[in-house]
Amino acid sequence: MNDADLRGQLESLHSESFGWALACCRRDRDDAEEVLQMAYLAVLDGRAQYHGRSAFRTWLFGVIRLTALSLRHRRWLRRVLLIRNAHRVDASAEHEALDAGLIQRDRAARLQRALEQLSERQRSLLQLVFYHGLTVDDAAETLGISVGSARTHYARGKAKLAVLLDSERRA
Amino acid sequence: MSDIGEDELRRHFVAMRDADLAQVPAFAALARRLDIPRVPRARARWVLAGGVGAMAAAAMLAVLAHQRQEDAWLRAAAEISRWQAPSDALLDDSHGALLGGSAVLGASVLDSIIPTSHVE
Repeated sequence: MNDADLRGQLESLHSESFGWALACCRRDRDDAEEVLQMAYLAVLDGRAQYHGRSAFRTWLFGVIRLTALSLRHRRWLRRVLLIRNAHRVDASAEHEALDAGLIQRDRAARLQRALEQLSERQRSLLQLVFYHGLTVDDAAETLGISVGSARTHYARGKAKLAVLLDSERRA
Repeated sequence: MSDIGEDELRRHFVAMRDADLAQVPAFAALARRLDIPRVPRARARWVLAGGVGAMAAAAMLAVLAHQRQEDAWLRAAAEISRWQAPSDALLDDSHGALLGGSAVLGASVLDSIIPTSHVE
């Protein structure tokens, strides 16, 4: 795949990739943008190479996930080494979609709050399946875990999320 | 158990997805930042290998140049030690003229050269 092809693929999946990057960065828009840029750069300069073993999207999501992980590790290491407390303002609230309807926004906000109470693996699996429409098998490949483990986390996460959303609705 | 089924879950995710789509940064803006000139990886390896080779060659040339300079110094030193001053001939005393005898008062070195028989 040449540079132009890669660029085309990245562009066609850009919106999806951003959604996944947001999920990998705990809904932090700035981090998601940075991760996406780093991941694109890795793809375009050949540090991450697609060998066609899975769908391009599955592979790209894997690259984005690993990029987000490495960014998170680097930040953690920097905090530990410099003993510096980064008091970051959570900008995600400022970036709420202003155009979306009130009900939609409320739904999205409730889902976000509920997702935060799940384990990272459950959250990622549900995001990949429900948000991006991946199969559980593809989601397992993206996350680098076995299909069996993915199915377990998926089922438990789904059940827990339903309970959390239900209790939010009743509250 | 909850009353929320898979469809309801899906609707929540769709709502989140719609909210996210409204804030997706433009691909063109990201791509512009990626448009720094890049060297393909394979080419980068060759460039690196070439650079290392050039540095090794430069180091070798520096060693050779240093050795050459040392040789030139040695040659110059040898030539200096062979050099003879033109006035060295004046120091030639093969006839023992300078160390010939004790000095006589009123005598001159020219006395041995100028014949005295005609002087009466």
